[in-house]
Amino acid sequence: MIFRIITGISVLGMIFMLTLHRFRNTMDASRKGSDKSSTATYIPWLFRRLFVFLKTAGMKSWRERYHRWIVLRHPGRERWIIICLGMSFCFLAASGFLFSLLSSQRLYGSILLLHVTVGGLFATCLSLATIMRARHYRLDAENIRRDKNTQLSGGKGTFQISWQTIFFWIFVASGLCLIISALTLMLPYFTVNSQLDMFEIHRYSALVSLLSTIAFAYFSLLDARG
Amino acid sequence: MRHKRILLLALIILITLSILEAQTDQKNQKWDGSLTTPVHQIPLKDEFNQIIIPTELNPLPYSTRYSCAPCHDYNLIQEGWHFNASSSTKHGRPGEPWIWVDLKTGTVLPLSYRSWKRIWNPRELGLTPWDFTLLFSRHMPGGGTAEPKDDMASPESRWNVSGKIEINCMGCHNASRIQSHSKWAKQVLRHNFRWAATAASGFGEVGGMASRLPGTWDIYDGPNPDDTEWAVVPSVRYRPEIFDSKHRVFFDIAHKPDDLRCLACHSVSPIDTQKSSIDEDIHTAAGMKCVDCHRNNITHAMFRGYEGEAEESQNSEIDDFTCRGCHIGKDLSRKKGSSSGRLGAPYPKHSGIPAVHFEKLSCTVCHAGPLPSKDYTRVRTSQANRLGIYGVAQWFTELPHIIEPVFVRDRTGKITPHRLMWPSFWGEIEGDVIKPLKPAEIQAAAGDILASEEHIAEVLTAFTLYSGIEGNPVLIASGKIYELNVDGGLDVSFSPQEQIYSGILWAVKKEGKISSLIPDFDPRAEEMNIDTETRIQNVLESLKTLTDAPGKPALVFKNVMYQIFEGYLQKTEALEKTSETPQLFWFHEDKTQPIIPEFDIRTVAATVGDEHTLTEEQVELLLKSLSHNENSQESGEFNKIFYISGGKMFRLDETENLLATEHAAAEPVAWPLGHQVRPAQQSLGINGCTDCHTEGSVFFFNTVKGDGPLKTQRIALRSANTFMGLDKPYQKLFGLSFRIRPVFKVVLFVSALILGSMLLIVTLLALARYSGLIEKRR
Repeated sequence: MIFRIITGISVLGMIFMLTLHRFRNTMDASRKGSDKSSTATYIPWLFRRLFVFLKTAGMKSWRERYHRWIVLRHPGRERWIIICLGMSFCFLAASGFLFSLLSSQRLYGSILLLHVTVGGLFATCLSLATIMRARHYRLDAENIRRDKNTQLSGGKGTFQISWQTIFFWIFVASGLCLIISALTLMLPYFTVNSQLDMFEIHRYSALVSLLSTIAFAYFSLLDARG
Repeated sequence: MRHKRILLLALIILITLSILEAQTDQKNQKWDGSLTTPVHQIPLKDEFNQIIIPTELNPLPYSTRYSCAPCHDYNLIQEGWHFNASSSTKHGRPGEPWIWVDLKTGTVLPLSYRSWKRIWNPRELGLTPWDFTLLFSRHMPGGGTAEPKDDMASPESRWNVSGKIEINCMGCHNASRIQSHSKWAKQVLRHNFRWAATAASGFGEVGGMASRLPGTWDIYDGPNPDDTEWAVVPSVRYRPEIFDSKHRVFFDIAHKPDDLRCLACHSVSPIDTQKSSIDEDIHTAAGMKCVDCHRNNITHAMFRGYEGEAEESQNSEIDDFTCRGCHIGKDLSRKKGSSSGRLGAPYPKHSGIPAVHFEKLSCTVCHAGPLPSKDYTRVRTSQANRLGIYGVAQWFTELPHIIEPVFVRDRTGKITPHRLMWPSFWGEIEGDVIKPLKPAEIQAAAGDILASEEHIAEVLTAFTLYSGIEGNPVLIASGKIYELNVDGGLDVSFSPQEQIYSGILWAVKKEGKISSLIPDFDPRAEEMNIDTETRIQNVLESLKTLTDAPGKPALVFKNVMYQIFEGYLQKTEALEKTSETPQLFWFHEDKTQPIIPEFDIRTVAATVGDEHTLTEEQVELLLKSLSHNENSQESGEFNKIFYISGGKMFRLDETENLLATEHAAAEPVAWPLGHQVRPAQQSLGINGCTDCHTEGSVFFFNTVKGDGPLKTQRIALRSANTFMGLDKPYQKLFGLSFRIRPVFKVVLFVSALILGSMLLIVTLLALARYSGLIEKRR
């Protein structure tokens, strides 16, 4: 039950934060009104954006998005790895969270079998994607971003890290936790209580992974739009 | 006025006395805290609450109700699990039913007064407490059904002759090895109900047989001096040395009964196994007794120890005595500072076993009963197969066929190992309502249909008794030799190769050699050998002793017939029948018929020496016979009679052919097993997941075959997964997945290694950058 509550609050919270971030960016760009009036116009803006999104959410627009976000950014074999990673992640998140949130039982039956199988694909794709994309998200690089809203600065040096980079590595780290917790559940070395602890780690890692994916996708889109 | 005062005073005194008595009883029930067992040097009392003096003439058997009552509340004890089946509304988890076995009619019917799925209530069948006691008291502890109230006596019962079976306290609590379950069983089968406890405890010897006494006999009548041979009145001769000068007897009481006492009625062992090769339950091997877990107080409401019993019984203490209660304790998380269960039983780590197993399976799946194998283990149980009764005769029965472990999803939704049997019975079906028929009804309607073995045995008995032959008369048919056994039935053996005779031949077996009952001779000779003539005459004379013979016995050889006429052997020409070998026939109204009909030969050939006792031909004939008896042909309901065996319901179709169909009433009956518990090193899954999870797993996909007294190919087949309510294709696929699991684990491990390394490198680089180390180096 606690996991359900935490999941609900954190996902809604993340969506709220990101939409608010987008809203403020939009307001700043159009230089309209004060902060107070901005907050008051947030909800109408949100519904308006949602309406526009749904209106443009046709097959054609998705194809365009696919072309812009995947084909152009990930050429060659990398594209297929990213597609597999994305699709496996979507399936894992859907199957895992739907069971966690809607069912009193843990994942079982054919869905569990698929979840585990797709988990293997996810692990493989994540490793390959990390190898291929790591250089784009180096924490030590002088990767200056144009948009200050997607950057985090500080430290003794004068380097800046984009939110995109941070969420990428959070996603990788949570993916690692997911893989290790899944692996330990299969090994005959852990007691039942340890397994139950691992299961909790798996669930919360999945939640972190989901949140980081949402955030990463948001900042990636923002970055793509310049 | 004065009378009223006296009456009132008397009433007050009576009430005060009863209260005092009740308080005294209550006081006696209260435990003083001592862990010792009181020495039970007490007087024996009979059923009239009189002290037994062994030297008196015709002393009565002792009564537990009155001998034990001064200290123990008999009525309270009667509420215990062992005694309350017919009176309690609490039924608990299904247990082993009583199984009514009648070999002749092929009846194997599970019964219980408790309301358990697919178990027939004896009341539904019209079985009275008297009937039930006669059938099963051999393994009952007395009380309950065997001790009905006076108003519950049915007209045919003979409680006044046999007495009632009081609770046999010593049956469990006697620490002496003289306690004999065999004596108990034999006494109750002789209807010596009130004497059984005395005989079994070894306090005295019991003679006589109540079953032979007239129904009018009463305990007040005493012995019958006119009959000391047959209808001998039961009597006790107490062992005088066990009585002291005050007529008290030392009861060697075990407060906690020995396992042997429990096992008298609760033994289970695989067939075809030597006693010496059976491993005991790991708890027993560790020095525990049955009652260490199966505890009770004076109410004798024993802890059965299954999960959920505590809630059902509203007694939370029982939770301590389940597998989990002892081995895990109350604190499942086993955090620091938590205590283990009772007696600090080893805490199971269950390393590598996914937690889902503990939600879906009971502990006994992996830890109790035999390990699953391709063939289910067939077991005999004390109550079902009449074990533990020793004597010259063979007491145990092969039927019912009980197999284990069959994994069944129980009423709590957990998979639990069960013992399983297939019911077999005759019955009547009206719409959806099924009514089993009693074996006596079937036998009455069967006539000769079920008497094939008897017919041959009668003939062989007649030859043995009256023909004067040396050796054992045998029947050779279909290459097998049939001879009489000590129980009056037939034993079968295969004839030696050189002596195979494909036809039917009456023969004599002497010192292992077989010779024809009628020696070879020339029927056309003027004079016959005197020995041969005597043999023929004796054989025909012995056949004449058979009752209900369909004609006169005759011997036909070639075209000559021999008969007994006015005490002499008469030779005539065989008009109707000729035979190349000497053959015996019944001759009636110028017609001959074989001594044993071909139907009987076929039936005996199919059933004697076989586990099955009925043939399809018998069932078909009997169904026709029963249907005709029911006068139901006119109403078009000729097929409302059925026979169930091997998981199929056999009925007659429109053309009166035997039809086998599925029916819920033919489904198997199963009850959970708790023992024998194996050590952890022998538990299921000790070798890894593939102990169960393979594409051809016997755990999931073993086939349970319908079994019963009927010899037939038409039996039900059930895959093990159906009992568990599990999907076969999924389990196959899941089992198959374990073939690629090692590869899968390697993939995950390599992925984790790559990601971990990447994260480590990135983190170190970031730290170096953040601390300015990289700029410094540049």
